[in-house]
Order: sequence, then C-alpha cells, then structure tokens
Amino acid sequence: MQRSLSFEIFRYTAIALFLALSLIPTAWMLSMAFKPIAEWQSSGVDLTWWPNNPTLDNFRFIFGHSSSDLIVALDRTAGRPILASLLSASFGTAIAMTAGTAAAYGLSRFGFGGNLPLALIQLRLFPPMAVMIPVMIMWAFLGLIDTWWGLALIYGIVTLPFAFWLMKTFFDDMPREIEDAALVEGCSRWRVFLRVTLPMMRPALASSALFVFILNWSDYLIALLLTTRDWVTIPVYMASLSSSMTGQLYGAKAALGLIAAVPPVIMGIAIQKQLVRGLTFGALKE
Amino acid sequence: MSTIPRFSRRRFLSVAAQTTALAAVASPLYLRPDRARAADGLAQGMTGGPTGFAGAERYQYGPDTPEGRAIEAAKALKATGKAPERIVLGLSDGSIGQITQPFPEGAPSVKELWEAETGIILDIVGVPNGQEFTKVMQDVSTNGGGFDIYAVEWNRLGDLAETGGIVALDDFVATHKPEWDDPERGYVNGEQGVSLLNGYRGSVYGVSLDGDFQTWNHRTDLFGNADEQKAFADQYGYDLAPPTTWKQHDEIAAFFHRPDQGLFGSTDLRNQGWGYTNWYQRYVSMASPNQFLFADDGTALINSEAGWAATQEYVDSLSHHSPDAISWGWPEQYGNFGNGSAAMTCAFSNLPKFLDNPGNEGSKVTGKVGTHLPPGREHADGNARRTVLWLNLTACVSSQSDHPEAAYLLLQWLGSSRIYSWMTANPGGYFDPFQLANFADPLVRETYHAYHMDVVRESVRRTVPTINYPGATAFHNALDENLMAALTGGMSAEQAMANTERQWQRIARRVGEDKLIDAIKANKAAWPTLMDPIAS
Repeated sequence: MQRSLSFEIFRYTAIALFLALSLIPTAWMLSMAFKPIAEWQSSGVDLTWWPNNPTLDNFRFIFGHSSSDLIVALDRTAGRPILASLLSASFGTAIAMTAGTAAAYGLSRFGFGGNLPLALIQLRLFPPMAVMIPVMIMWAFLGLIDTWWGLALIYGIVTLPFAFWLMKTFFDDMPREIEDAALVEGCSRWRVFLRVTLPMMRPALASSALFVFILNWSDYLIALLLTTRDWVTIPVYMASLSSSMTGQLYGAKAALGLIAAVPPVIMGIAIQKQLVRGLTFGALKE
Repeated sequence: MSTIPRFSRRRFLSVAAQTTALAAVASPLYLRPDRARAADGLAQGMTGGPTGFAGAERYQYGPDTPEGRAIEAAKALKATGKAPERIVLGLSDGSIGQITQPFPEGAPSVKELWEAETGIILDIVGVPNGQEFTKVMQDVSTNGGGFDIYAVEWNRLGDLAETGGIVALDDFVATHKPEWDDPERGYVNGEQGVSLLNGYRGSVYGVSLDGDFQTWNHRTDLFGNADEQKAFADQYGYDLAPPTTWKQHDEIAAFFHRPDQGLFGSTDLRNQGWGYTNWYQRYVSMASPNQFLFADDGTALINSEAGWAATQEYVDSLSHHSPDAISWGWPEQYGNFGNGSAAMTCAFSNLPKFLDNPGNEGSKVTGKVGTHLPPGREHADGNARRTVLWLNLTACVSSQSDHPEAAYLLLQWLGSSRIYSWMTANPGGYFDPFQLANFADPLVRETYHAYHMDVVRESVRRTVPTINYPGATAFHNALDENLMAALTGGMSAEQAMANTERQWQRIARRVGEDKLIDAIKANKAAWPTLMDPIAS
C-alpha cells in the first residue's frame, strides 16, 4: 500500500518528537555528569545544554571521596552501593526467574496449582509498601536487615509475579507438539524441559529477566527500609548526595545516574537479538 | 584519573584551625595562665576534655560538672561490667562529621575523646537526611534493636514516647545532674527551655543536640548598594533595610525579584514535609502576643480570619520565589543562596556557617551575608516578630537498648555546654548552637560569625515551638497536605484551613482530648511573649 508523502512526514515528525521527549532527560543527565560545579550549580539563567568545560570531577568525587572543585567530602564512596545493587538485583532476578519459570511451566503444561496464578497476582494487587511492615519484622527476626541477600530475597518475592505471568504467557504460546515429539523419541520430561523447552524459550527468558532486573535495579523504597549502612543500594545512596555547602550535588547525582544506567543498557544490548524475538514471541498463533 | 583533592574538607578544617590559632594568639581573651598547659594537656583541676589546641581549656571539665559526672559514671559502669562494648547512635548523615572529624587542628574528634575517656566504642550509623523518623519507626515497629540512641526531630518525642519506643530519662537525670538549666551556660529560657526541647508531659525523654531556630538572612551587597537603595526609596517611600514587618518583607522581595537576572526576591523551604514551617511564622504573628493553633480547651483555631489570611499570604509569596519553589528543601535553598540567586532567605541557623565561608570556594555570597530578626505584624502593643523551632535533632534512648544508662551518659556528655560548644563550632555538620554558652563561645562565634550569633540568640527569644503533642506527626501531615493543595491551586486558603481543622478534630479524638489538652498547655507555656517596639 502506497502511503502519502504527508503521512510519512507526519509519521517521522511524530517519531522524532517522541524520541526527543524520551531522550532529553538522558541527554541532560549525560551533560550534567560532565559539568563542573560552577555549571551545574547555576540557578537557571546561565544553564547550558552542554558542558562548557567538561570534567571528570563528578566521577572522581563519587569514587574518590572528594574532587578538586567541591569543598565537601563524602563519608562513603559509590563503590559499595554499586556492588550492593548488582548483587541484590542480580540474585533477586535469578530467584524470581527460577521460581517463576518453574511455576509457569508446571501450570502451563500440567495444570498444577489451579489457583496459583490468582495467588501470585495477589502479590501485585497492592503496592509492596502495604506489606513492608510485616516484611521488616520478619527480616529483622531473621537477621536479614542490611544484607544484600535479604534484599535479593525480597526482590525475588516481589518480582516473582511478573516473572511467572510473563513466562506463563510464553509457555502457553509454545507448541506442545515439539515437546511431545521429543517425549516420543524417548526423552524424559526433565530432559525435554532442559534440552528442548528452555532453549526455545531463550528470547522469552531474556526479555523477562531484563524486565525483572530493571524493576529490582531501580527500587528505592524497599532498599531504604531494609538497609541501614553496609548494603545501601544506588538509589538510596544517591538520595544522600547533598551538602550544606553546595545544596543538591546534581553533578554527582548525574554521574551516578549515568553509571546506574550502564548495567541495564549492557544487558539490553547483550540480549538484543533475543529481546526482539522475545517481545514478539507468540504474536502470531498458528 | 587523579583523586588528589586540591581543596578538600580536611584542608578547609586545617585553614579554619590556622585562622583560629592566629586569632587566639592575637586575642587577650586567650592570655590566661593555663593556656600553655591546655595546649599540651588538661588545665589545672580538669579531669577530662579535649586538648591539643589553643583555647582547649574552655571545653575541659572537672569532676563536678555534667561532663565530668557523665564520664566518671560511664567509667564506673565499665569497671563493673555493666557498660556495653559499643553504643550505636543513629544519626543523619550530614551531622556525623561534627562527631568524627577532629576540630580544630591538633584536637581529637569528639568520638575519639569519648572512646579514650570511657573505653566504650561509639558506633555511628548514618541515616539519610530527612529519613530520620522513618528509620526510627522502622526500628521501633520491627523490634529491630539496631540502635541504642535515636536522633530525631524534637517534636517526635511525644509520638515515640506514646508508642513506647523510647525510655523516660528522669531517673538518670536525677542521678547524674546534667545542669541543662544553668543560667550562665544552659538552655535559653532555663527550665522552660529544657522542658520544651527535652521533655514530654512532665518527663525527660530526649537530649537536645541542635538549635534549629529558623533565621532570616539577606544579601548585604544588595541591601547596601546605593543605586538599589535609591530605587527602592523612590518606589516605596521608605529606606531599604532588612524588613521588620511582613508587609515590608513582601515589598522588598517584590523589589528584588528579577528571575531574568537569576535573582529571586525571597526564598525558603517550600516542599512537602518542610514548607509548613514557613506558614507558621506568618500565622503565629497574626495576634498579640501570639496567634495560637489551639485554644486551651483543645479547639483548633486555624479555620479563622487569621488562618485564611496567613495561608493566602503564604500562597501569594510564591510570586517572589523560584518557579519550582514547591519542590524546594534545604539543599535547593542553600545551593540557590550560595549561588547568589536570592536577596533574602529564611533558613536553618547554620546557613552563614556554610555559605559565608572563605573555605567554600563555590559560594558567591562569602562576605555578603547579613542576618536579621524575623518579620512581624504590628499590633496595638507592639510588633509580634516570630520565628519557629524546627527541625531540631533531639537524641533519645531506645527502649530496646540493653544499656540505657550508658546511652544516656553519652548524651549527657555530648549535650552539655562544654562538649557541645566544642562540637557545634566544628564546621563539619548540622548540630547548631542553642545554649547560652554556645552563643558566647569564641570558636562558635568564629565558625557561625559573630554578627549571626547575636541575631540567633535574639531569634530564640521570639521562637514559637511547632506541635509536639501526641499525634504531632499526624497533625503536621494534615496541615502540610492542605497547605500544599493551596500552594498548587487545588483549593482555596479557606478550604485548606477548613480541611485541616476537620482532620485535626479527628486526630484529637483519636489521640484522646484530655491527653492533648495537657500537652497543648505545656507547649503554650514555651511560646514567647516578647513584643518589639513599632518602628516610627
């Protein structure tokens, strides 16, 4: 079908506008991360889109306690919070994906746990904050407060419904005949799952894992409540980047934000091929 | 990538210490027989305290002082095995430096001194600024037992006491005699001040570690500029000077408000959770000597002409503030003022310490900051100039602490006038002066500036306490939410006050009106009665 020129112009203009709106915050963060204090502390009339005097000072500051321009010094650097975020988000994702995938497969293929979907979705019917007081009491009793494994466990629990529902949709859409063929050939059910189903589900696993990881990686509230000192995560640490001498440390926050954006972006790029397939998985029914 | 700082806080402290030392040499105040001894060790008759810098003897103590008694009692506990290995103190991130960083040069840190004198480790757990109460309630509600001492906003004491999260300290106070009401060195307003800051319904529950009397600042370069003075006088018909009334304040703010030049007329804290403190100042000055929040029988008084007018004025004042004022907490406010982008601002009393500071190379207002008493309203018997006490960190002992007496002794030592003066002079944190000894201390006056200390001391006499009754958090949340709705145009000033009144009535019923009336009366006793003369 031949589209009119005016439609094409409209389409590309809309795409360009949408892209600009989406990317402006990222571009601003990128710009702020490389601005010296005099430029990011500006009150408005002197603000520039791009740094006039690009510097790495903001990165030096968050990793080295201090920088040449800032009089304030940090009591703790960003290294440990980055590690805390990596460990808790990664293991939380692993927990959610392992349990979610297994539960989704069981339900999709054998109908185990008839009320399981409803039970799991109940976890998402109210905000996580609503259950945080009992969770805090349990975590304190179990000695899991301010530990990365305690945080990973709650992340795994909170994001389990997402993993389950995403994976169930994918399993439902996968033709059972392929598994049946492998069974006829003599494969055990476990071997079919490992050697046939999971490899075919790779795109689905990749897109679900990325989604779950981003949810865990960007959490603020749960980490604020369940950590105190040793294992605060990036978002909690970022909230502490302010000082009486300078006000909000926007440059340092932007530098940390830029670093925080790296793992999801790398993960996205690494699984890009799978991701595209995963997002369209099951779009067409036979 | 080099990590060597060209000007770090450490260097700033060093420069500050050198300046102090030079001033000490030049000042006859320091020419005392025990000065040489103080530089090396304790002065004669002293049993403890910091050493290693000129003037250290001012912060040393003998056996018959609150600090000396606290140390001796802590040592006795240690000797009998009744003291803990460590005391865990939960403290806002920004305040930790004053305890852990040595000041001035040659001195130990406050933490080092406590540990050296008692053998008890002081373990400080940082809490994000603004999250102090959240963290405390988390520890209380989960029985986490993570802290021996909480440091929270002063008016949370009632709520924490009512939930059983903190212990009454009366027995420890009777035993160890902190002398907080000492007329020479203690709290402003003596016993009344102690009751206000540390007490709740007749018992001591906390030890004040702060002096957050909201204080007004202005730019001396703008107010002293001949062209500005002439232009202002031509426009308004009176001389440009720090305002004494709210009417003058609004006119001066409007005069200086030049957003196209990066200058706002007057700024303050405005975001949710912080902003309502600036509504207070406008409201309480509506009557002489004060426009109270509640009548003696517990009836809320805000849904009135006074409440509507104060709220409308508060909303209208956005016209000389930043366009994003309602997102402003202190970091935005301090950053803006330090950047030279406001003519006036109402802030915590430490603003000149941080921003009128040669060590702060990023500040554009060093040498250009003046402070003044709060604006007021003229009544038949004078000008009611009022400010407000808020946030003010007060430390209290957790009911989950296994060693409450040792925890209290640390607080008695920290919060007594000698150690507190030394600690508050340290530019590394947010503990601000509030005791008579602090205001007069040379090192404190140097850090905070002499011009400012006198204004703070006078502001204290005009300070209204915020709500500290049981349910304080709920009362303030209700007020805060309705004020924010008025600021954003979601409701009128009248609606905001009517809603707040309704919510306050519900909270009062829930808390228990009898309990509330007692607390209201105790709170009212601390309100100022001072009226300033009306300018002719």
